[in-house]
Amino acid sequence: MFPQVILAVLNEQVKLYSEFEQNAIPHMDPLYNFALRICGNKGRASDLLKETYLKAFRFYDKLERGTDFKAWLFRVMRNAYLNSYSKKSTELNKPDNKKVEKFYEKIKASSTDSSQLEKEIHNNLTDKELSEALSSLPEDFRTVIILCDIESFNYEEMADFVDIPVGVVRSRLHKGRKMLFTKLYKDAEKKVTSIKNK
Amino acid sequence: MAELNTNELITKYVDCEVTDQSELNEIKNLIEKDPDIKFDYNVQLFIKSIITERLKIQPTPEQVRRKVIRKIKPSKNFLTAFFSRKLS
Repeated sequence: MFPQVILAVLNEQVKLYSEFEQNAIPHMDPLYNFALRICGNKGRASDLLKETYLKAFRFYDKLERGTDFKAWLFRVMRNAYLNSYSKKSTELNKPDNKKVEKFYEKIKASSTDSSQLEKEIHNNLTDKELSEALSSLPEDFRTVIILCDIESFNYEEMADFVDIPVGVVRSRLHKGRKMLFTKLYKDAEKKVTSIKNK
Repeated sequence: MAELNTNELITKYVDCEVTDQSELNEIKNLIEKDPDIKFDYNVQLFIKSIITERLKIQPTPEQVRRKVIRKIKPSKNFLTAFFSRKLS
């Protein structure tokens, strides 16, 4: 009797796993990239990916049929990140929103043309620096930028995934990109000054 | 249209989320006529394109992929998964 129960459980698991694998594995690359951008390093991203798949598999049989599977996986990952990883990160370095806004307006007032600024940032920026600058944004803003500009989610999908209204998605994207621009501008300015002083 | 502020409107336009033709024309007109709005628009567009262009989706390293699959495969952990499911 006992071995039969075990066999039945194993069969159920194998069936469930094969269904889960079919649905979940194709989303591994976008999930890994989201983890990479949100955590800021490969080691933590790998751990977060493992945790996400384990949790998702654990609750897979409870998932309502018809649920957007990709968005659900992202939600599992984000919750796992918020529960354990974000506490360990340096959220102390959050930029002050008012200061950022003030600085942005200053740049805007002193620039007649944004293309020169863009050129300077573009030419002085490595991919690693861009990645670090993105990682320095507060989680709320970073998430929507990653989802929109790297993962190509549309507004409805993002709103569903982060569980916020579409208007908040738009607003966070706008502010987040402004914050990132300000950060990149400051970094480029520092770089240019240090080159000139050499 | 009036419900959205200009900032949100610009972002919506940059992300190709505007489907209404009259709204589209109105945004284009605003960008063309107002230098402040044009600056904001260029900044949004620049950040979006630099991220899309530089931070491309990378494939999951093979080692990580294998580890994840190993972790969830039932042959190794079916009892753990079964009992944790029963407990949850």
